[in-house]
Amino acid sequence: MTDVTYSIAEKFNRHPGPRFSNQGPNSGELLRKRLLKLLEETDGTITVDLDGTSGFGSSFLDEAFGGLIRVDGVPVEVVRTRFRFRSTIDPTYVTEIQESIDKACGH
Amino acid sequence: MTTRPCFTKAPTDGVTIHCIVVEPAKSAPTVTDWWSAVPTVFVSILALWAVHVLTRSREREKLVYELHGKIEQLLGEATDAAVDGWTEPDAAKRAAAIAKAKWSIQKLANMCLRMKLVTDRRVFRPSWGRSFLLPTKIDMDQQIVMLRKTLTSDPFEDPSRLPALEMRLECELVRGQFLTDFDSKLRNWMSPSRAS
Repeated sequence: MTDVTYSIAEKFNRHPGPRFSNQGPNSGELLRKRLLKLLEETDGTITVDLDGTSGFGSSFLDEAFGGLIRVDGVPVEVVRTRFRFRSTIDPTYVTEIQESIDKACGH
Repeated sequence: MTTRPCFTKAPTDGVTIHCIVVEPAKSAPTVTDWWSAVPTVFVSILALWAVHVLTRSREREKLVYELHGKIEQLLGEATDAAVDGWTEPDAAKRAAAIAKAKWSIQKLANMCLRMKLVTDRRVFRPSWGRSFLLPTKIDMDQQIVMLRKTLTSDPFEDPSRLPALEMRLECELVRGQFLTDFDSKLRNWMSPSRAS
């Protein structure tokens, strides 16, 4: 099993955008697709590092992480066991992502 | 007690004089020898500790008030930028305001995190059925999440939407609620005995 760290600032973009790709660049939808690909390519834990960006909007976080369950149909257990979220700058991002995941699976 | 010869002098008339110095027995200092110094040392350590605690407490309160001011300022910046983002008709200005709002909320959250770390302490609170040393800190995590959701939720970043003037009131309400909660938590932290 290979554990990987995915830094959004380094591997995606330092300036996260809106929810959908048709609303602007660096969208939550685009990140969701990249995470889905990463999920298929690896078999270990994926640690998503949220530090180093210019800030996330709620809709971006919801689409990127809640959308994995809601849109792509990834089982919530897979999201919960395979993904770890990390932010030293603003730990409330992690709280909000967990809330999005709970909401997406109907809790 | 030990004795040792001091000197021996042999005068010429044939009388020998022996001088003997008597020295008290040497022994290692015992606890009782130091006993009289113990209260002084104890009071000195206690005084140093009290000064240290009071100084640290005063410095922490000063830092908390500084952070309070910064948080209030950042909250204002974030809310104002979000109001501009919701109401600005010009696309370029709106995009700039949206970016500033997200950045300001992140800075605000980071400042609130510092506040949480600085105010993390245990206070003595005698009460039936409770622990005497209760942890207390100013934790604004839920308020930050609520603020971000209100200010940046859909369709905040949708470039095709019209200016949403009604969001001005929503933004002001969430700002007011944040400040109310923040001041309440600060009051409780300053006077834990009055905390509910």
